[in-house]
Amino acid sequence: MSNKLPIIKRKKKFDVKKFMALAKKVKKSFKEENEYLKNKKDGNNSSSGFLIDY
Amino acid sequence: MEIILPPDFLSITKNKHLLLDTSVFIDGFAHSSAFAKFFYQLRDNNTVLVTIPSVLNEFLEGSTTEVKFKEKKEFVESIVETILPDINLQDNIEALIKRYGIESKDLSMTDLYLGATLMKYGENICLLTRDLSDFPTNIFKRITFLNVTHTKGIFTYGVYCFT
Repeated sequence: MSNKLPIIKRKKKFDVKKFMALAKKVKKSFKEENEYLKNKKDGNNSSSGFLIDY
Repeated sequence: MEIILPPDFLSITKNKHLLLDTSVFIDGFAHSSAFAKFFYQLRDNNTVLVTIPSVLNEFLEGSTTEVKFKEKKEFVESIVETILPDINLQDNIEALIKRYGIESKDLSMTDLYLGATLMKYGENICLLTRDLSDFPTNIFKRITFLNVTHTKGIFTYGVYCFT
């Protein structure tokens, strides 16, 4: 038998303006994070760079 | 880009809780105009958008500053109406691991928590995810789907429940 979902106080209509403003900021943050990950990956897998393990 | 819903999508999800996977939030900010319209439609349809702490944490990981962490959290909270607690799920998680068998090796903790949450609440809740291979139809029931078209292809999302 399944459990009952918690009762929540329903929110008003979806706030499109707030969502769009936050989406813009979050998109910028993820772009930065992805660049960091890409650089980290490129560094780890470098075959011709400075990271030569003798 | 456009979100294409099958004609019965809104009637299937009406009055249900729709559990959102991390991919929904990622595509949500990447294609914000289309997803704003979609979320508005769902809220208007009396579909309750929810997620769980594991999904929120996955989304928050990698935040470079406290301000950016807060913005990400607010973004998730602007979409969902509540974050369901992920307590008392261990029995369901163990049951799922047994059902997945060897396939459970590839599952993330978030996948297990999502599956266990579907098990916990039964037909009252369904999951929206782009990770289709992690929710096989021998364990979960795929009740509908939607397509998200973009310049380089089409993403398909499945809607799953546990019966």
